[in-house]
Amino acid sequence: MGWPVSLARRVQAPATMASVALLLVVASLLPLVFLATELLSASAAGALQRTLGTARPWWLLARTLALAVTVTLGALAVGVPMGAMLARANIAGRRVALLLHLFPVSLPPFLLAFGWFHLLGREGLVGSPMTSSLLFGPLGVVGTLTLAFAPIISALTVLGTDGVEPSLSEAARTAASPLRTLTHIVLPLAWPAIAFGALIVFALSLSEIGVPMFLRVRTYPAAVFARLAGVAQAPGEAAALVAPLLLIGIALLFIDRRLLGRRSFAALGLRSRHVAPAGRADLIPTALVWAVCALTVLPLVGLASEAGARGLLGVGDWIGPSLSTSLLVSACAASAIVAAGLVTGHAVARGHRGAATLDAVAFLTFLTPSAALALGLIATWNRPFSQGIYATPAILVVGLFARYVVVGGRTLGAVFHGSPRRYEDAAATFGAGYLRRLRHILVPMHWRGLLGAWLVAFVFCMRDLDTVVSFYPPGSEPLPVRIFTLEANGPEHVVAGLSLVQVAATAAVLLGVGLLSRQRA
Amino acid sequence: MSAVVELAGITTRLAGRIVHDDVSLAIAEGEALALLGPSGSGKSTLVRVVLGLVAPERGIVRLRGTVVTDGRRLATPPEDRRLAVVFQDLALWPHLTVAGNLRFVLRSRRCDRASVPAHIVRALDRVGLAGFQDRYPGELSGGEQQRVALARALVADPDVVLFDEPLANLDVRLKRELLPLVAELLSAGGTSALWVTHDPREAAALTQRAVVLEGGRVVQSGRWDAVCAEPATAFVQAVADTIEGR
Repeated sequence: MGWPVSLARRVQAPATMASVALLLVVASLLPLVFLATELLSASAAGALQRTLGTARPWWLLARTLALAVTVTLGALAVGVPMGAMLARANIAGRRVALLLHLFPVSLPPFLLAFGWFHLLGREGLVGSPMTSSLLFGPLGVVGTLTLAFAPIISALTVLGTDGVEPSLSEAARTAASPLRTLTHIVLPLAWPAIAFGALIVFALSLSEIGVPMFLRVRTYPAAVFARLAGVAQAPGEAAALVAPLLLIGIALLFIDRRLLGRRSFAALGLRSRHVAPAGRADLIPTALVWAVCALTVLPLVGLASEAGARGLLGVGDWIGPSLSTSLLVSACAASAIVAAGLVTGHAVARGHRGAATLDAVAFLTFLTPSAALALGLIATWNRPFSQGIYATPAILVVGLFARYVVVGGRTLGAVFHGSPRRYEDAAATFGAGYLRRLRHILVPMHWRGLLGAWLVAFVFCMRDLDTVVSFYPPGSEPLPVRIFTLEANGPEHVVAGLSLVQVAATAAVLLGVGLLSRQRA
Repeated sequence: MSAVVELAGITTRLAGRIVHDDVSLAIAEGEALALLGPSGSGKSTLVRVVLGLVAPERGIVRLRGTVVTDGRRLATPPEDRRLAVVFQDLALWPHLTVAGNLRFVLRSRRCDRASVPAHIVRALDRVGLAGFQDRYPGELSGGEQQRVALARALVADPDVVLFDEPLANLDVRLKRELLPLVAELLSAGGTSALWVTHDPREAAALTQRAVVLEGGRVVQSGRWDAVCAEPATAFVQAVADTIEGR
């Protein structure tokens, strides 16, 4: 009588893994495979030669790569010192400063570009023809994206340095100054987290459509988008153009595997061992941290000043169902991402067979510039039998799941990595199968981590423009798409008002989940 | 004998809990002092107070007569106190080689660049690890790591070495092997030391005097024979019994 139960228990783990693997293959891998197959077909050869046979796209690609590299270096230059100060210096109001600094990451970067426009544009609050010409150019794109993405590096630097065993830096402090301890001991130990952050920033910069389009800077993904859904529609050309992007995605994945591998999980141990430094607040670091915080949230002041009461009152006439679509679609996608991440993250943290491959598939769709993923999703789902998905908001959930599924796996992988295995081993010893251990041990023990992972996934989905802008169904556009399309021909104060709605909705969800987490704690 | 380290009226509060309540003690030049106490009595935090890594609420820390901590004010930062530490987990920097660990300390202490290799060789010789310069901590056994930590603590000739239960994780054989080495290193260099432990036998073998901390207060202090002769609390009685093999 015992064997069927034991057999059922034995297949639980592989069956669950297989289900998640199937989900990942259908949602994430299939679009890229379809796209690659299409590009390799004989019929595509002509389009490839026509489109990529000239120097022009390659120059544009080189320029876009240079832009992404510059943004990444800029974000490192701002984010590493900022994160190091937040983690190791005695900063007055550290927690508030950290939250304030991180908040703009949860917004679509083009919203911040709007904000800068209302500050530095020709008719902006402190604008002049000179600031305007600087903003509308590569410098403006680099500056906006650097400040938009630097908090990612800051956050990962904080996590990385907080994850360093305190005794390692304390031992150094008995001989070396705080700066020397930081540069020789702490940061070298935290490098996997920082390098992981740099990879994320590079991938996001390379995918970015909104900021360069708004600031009138030609980039490669924007050129793909223009041929896919813009004024210069030419889907064949768009498909040919994404071929190099696919290769870039694979190259980035290769870098991740070779340089970081499992170390990015170790570095993201999420178990903050933050020890408040002794003594009074450090004046200079405090001033620097708060100055950078002010700079990162300054665009929101620009948006608020442009919107005013008139802009906010006008929101009702323009917003349509975009806010509810955004919230609903993001919540559904985030929940699916966390459900898949629970299985993949646990498998990766415990070194289960096949887990690294699943993580690689998930990370590939994140690293591949979103224009390529979008085209793959269209090629996969725009078929007569799948209109039930493609013509409805469900395609947004599928697209966001495909792009951001790695967020759940990586976040929860880090959570489980930092948690002792003995609790699960003890449960297994007492006869609990895989699903029972998940339900009764892992989920209750790590509910805060799960909530955190959901929030991170939600934020990524809520701020997304690049993925969904190419295939959102008519009448079901999320709020960022609505704002972005209105930017071209809508009243500026209403666009600013809608941007503030996006800010408020994101802040409300962050606050709500934060309070929920605190209440349950 | 003049005091190298002097703590006067140290009261420390961490996360709302009083960890030390008016703790005073002194370590004389060349003396090894044991700090004993049950788990949670505040021994390790006291080491951090001396190092300047934790600021007390009240009280003074003097090093060679100079006030380095005055209540919450850290008059001298940790790196300028000329102290060295061996933590329980050793805290060897995993990304640096054995030589790199020692070099970092020497260079931080402004040791002349040209003389650094000689210092490293001498320090490793003293702990019996000649030829281990290029190994990483992860490639060493527990005992070898312990020796590297000792070499790192002593390489820059500190005024005082603070040992925070460095042998707690070792087996009996390794402890037996290392205790004479530590004793020899301390007596040869005339280095003052604070030996934090909850193992009375280990403490009695290495030190001349003991201070017993319970619930954040000093409950007894003095030479070992005096402490064992008149134990003030049940814990000290247990300490005396252990030492006398009862």
